[in-house]
Amino acid sequence: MRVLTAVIAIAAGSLILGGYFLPALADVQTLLLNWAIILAGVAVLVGISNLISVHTDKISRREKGSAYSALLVIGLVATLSFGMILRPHHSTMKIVMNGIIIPAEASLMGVLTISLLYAAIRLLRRRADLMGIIFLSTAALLLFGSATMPLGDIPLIGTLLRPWVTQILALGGARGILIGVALGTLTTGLRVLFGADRPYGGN
Amino acid sequence: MSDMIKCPSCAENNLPDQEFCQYCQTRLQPLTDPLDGADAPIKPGQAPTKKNTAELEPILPQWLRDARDSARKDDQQATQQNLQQPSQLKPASSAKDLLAGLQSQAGDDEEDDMPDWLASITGVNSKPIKSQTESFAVRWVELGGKDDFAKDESDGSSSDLAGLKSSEPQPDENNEVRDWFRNLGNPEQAQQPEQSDSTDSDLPDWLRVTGSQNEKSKSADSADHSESGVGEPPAGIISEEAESPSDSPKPNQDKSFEWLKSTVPATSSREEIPDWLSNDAAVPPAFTAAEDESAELKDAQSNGISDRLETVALQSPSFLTAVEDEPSGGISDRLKAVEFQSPIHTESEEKTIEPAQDADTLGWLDTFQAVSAYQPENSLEQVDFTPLDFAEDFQASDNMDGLFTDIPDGLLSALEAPPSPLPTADTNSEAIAPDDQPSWVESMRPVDSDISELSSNFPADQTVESSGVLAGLSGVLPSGMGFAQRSRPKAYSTKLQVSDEQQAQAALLEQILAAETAPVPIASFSVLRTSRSLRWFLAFIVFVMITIPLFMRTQMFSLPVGVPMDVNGALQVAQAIPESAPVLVAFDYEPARVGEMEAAAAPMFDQMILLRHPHLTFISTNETGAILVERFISGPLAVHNYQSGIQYLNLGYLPGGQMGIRAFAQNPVVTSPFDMSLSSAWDSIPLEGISSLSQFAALIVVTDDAESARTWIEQTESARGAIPFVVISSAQAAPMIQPYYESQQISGLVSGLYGGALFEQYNAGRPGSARSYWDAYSLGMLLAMALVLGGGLWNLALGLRERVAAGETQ
Repeated sequence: MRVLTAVIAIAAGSLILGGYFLPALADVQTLLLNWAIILAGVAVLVGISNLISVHTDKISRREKGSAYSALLVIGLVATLSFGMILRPHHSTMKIVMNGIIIPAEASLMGVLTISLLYAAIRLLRRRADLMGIIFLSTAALLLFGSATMPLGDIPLIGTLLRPWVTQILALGGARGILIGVALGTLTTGLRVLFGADRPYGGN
Repeated sequence: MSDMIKCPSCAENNLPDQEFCQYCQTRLQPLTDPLDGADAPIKPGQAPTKKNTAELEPILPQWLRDARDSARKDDQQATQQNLQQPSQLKPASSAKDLLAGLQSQAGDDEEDDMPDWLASITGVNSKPIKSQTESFAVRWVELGGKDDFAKDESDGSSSDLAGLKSSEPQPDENNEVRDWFRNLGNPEQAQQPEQSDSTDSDLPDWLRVTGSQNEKSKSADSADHSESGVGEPPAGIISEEAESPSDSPKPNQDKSFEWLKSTVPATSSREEIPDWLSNDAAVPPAFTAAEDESAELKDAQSNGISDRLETVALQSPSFLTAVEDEPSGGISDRLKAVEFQSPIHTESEEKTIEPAQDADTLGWLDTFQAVSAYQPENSLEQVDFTPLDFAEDFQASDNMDGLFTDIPDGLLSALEAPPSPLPTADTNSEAIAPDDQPSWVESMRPVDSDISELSSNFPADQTVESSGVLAGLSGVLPSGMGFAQRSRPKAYSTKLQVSDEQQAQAALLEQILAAETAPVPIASFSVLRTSRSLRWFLAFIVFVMITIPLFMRTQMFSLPVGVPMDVNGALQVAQAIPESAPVLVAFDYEPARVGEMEAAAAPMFDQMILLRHPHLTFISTNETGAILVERFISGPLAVHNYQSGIQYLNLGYLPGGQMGIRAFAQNPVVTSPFDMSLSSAWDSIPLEGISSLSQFAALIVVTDDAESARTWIEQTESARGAIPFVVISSAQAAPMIQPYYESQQISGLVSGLYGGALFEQYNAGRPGSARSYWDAYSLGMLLAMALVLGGGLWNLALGLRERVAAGETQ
């Protein structure tokens, strides 16, 4: 069984990789990708069913926080029902989105803002080293440079330091990260193709 | 020659492929393969498994089964006879079925156990043996193996024991000694006058004297034995066996000495021996084997076989030859040694002999007097068979070694096993029950007297044998015999001998290992309690500082000045789109970032719609993206009154992540055939004439995730061709997307509220969402910067003070 799964994975990966270079394999690549898309859609449904079962089990066992689980299940079923019946572009669904989902997530982002600010303030008390100081100094500089003053950009900081930091330092770091991601992806792909890594099962 | 097989019986070499010896017909090849598995022989240390020997009977050889059957039949017959004749007492048999052979021989016919030569030596013809073969088989089975007797029969040097085995004449011409010895049982034949007459001149003097003496002593012996109540003089021994066969544990061994006892006095001629030996009464007629031998020799010489006579003389027992050659004094000594081995020499006999001893008679002759005066009525209980200690005389003999080296094999084996007339207690009865072993195994077991002797020599060796024929016996094979360690074993010190340098290195290694395994304390920080008040203070001040500008719609802070390159690229794309051109827009952001993303994307879309009225096609790899599209169209772009299916089309959710994007880039018609209303998407107005990604006028990705932007950039690169690609991202994801703009993989980048504010300035301030947020945004940034700096410095000072205080405390 392990050999069979490895053969399937290597063959699928090889065909999809070959589809980038050989036009003759483009159709095969598209076919395999469509299969993957279908499986991914089914995986979403499986995830939803698993979510329902887990929280339903919590409700049945009356565990701590089961009320939130009940609220989650009710909201999920209601939204799913409204979406399937009324369709997503219905005004009711827009209300659900604008009145519940977006404010809730935006509020979480606001709380996150307060938490990050609090952590930044308390950072040097716990870790008063050079890197902590540099980290906080850079953050303060970008915050200050992103804002504007009533009379325009902040001299030197908004016009020189912030662009230099964002376009040079941040860009350099981001490129390095992307190159690392690309190399890691390439290596992982080759290992999967060679059967060294079997994330689909086995070793 | 190395492949030749040496016959174990006759020691002749045979070809390796021969199954039987070509000289003596002894089997050379084993009948069975080596035992293995459950039948494997017992190994040392294993306890023998108790087996029911009755189950093994079917696999016994035919001859053995016949012997056992005959024994049982005889036993049954004896039992029936006992029942029929209850008055006749029979000795109880201590052994069971395995000893039935002995019992049957003794019980059925007492005379069957008596050798014919002994029965006929008195001149009385014995009864014909009914089943000579059966009794013979039983006897040799219990003695050992069948081949053992075949060996004895073929061995001319030991043929003198043939008379003990069978009275039937053996037609073996090669066995000359057997003939003369067989004639011992037929004195009439041996005393034929013509034979003695014809050989008188050639025989030695002592033989002639012996021959003449034989006739003289015959009448006297008959008288003696008749007086003693025994019809057959040597039958005193035989009757003893016949009357109590079961009580005599070693009848065969007793028989093996009879020829010797009968031979010893006969070898001394009356003329050569001293006067004390001239007593006719002391020479029993039954022990005149020498006379028979002389008769045999005479017979042989009468037939003109003088050479054969020499051969006979050579093949006769060597010790007998030595007796012939040596003077009487030496004979007496030797006979003392033989007498020591005599099983019939008992203490009670000595008591009987003592009054009959003559002053001139040597001690060894008393034995034969005792034999002649033996009272067969004496039961075994009345006779003490404990042999006398002749050790001194035996060791004092100068020719002792020569005596034993000249003894034939059969006699030597008998000598090595001194008889114990009284049944000795089986000391190994606990190890192996007698009933568990076949009779032939019992007969092969060593004599208990031997074991006791060995045990006395090696008292410490009480090892119980676990395999072989000695299984269950202890101390039979003393391990110390000849292999005892005579030197004291060398003592080795258990202390490790190392030098100082080695010890130092070992100590260093121990220190290294200890350092590796020693726990390293982790630098712990002081527990910093959560400042709830600080949290509430931060939340309050941020909320106030942001909400006030929003609700007051202040515009104190100026918009950023200048147009970065990335924003300029997006501006050019928005302005370069053809009129009513199809534009593909990917909405991949979370609802939490709606405020930022809409403020960043609205100016560009507003400008495009105002200027080019593009047909927008929305697709999302996020589950909420489709609804966010509707919010975006009905929100910031509501002024344009775009209608679904006419100016824009929402393809909805594209599952599969990277794979979905790749599939959509390759074949969008197949991947997303329907819109959100489940209508055919690619037949609608916004997608009219569009079947591939490259047919779109532009591709715009609105995302707050750098990973999503990277996927769209990389997976659609080969499919989109040269169409413009613009990314509208959040400020958080902009640094990761910026490299794609620098590498010109995307045409423009608008990031966050800052980029929207810039773009909005080049759109105449439309739609104004960026501007509405800008004061709150700027104020919030300044506040955050101030809090971080001020709070950071304050906490830094507090931390330093705590560390100083902690250092002073330590």
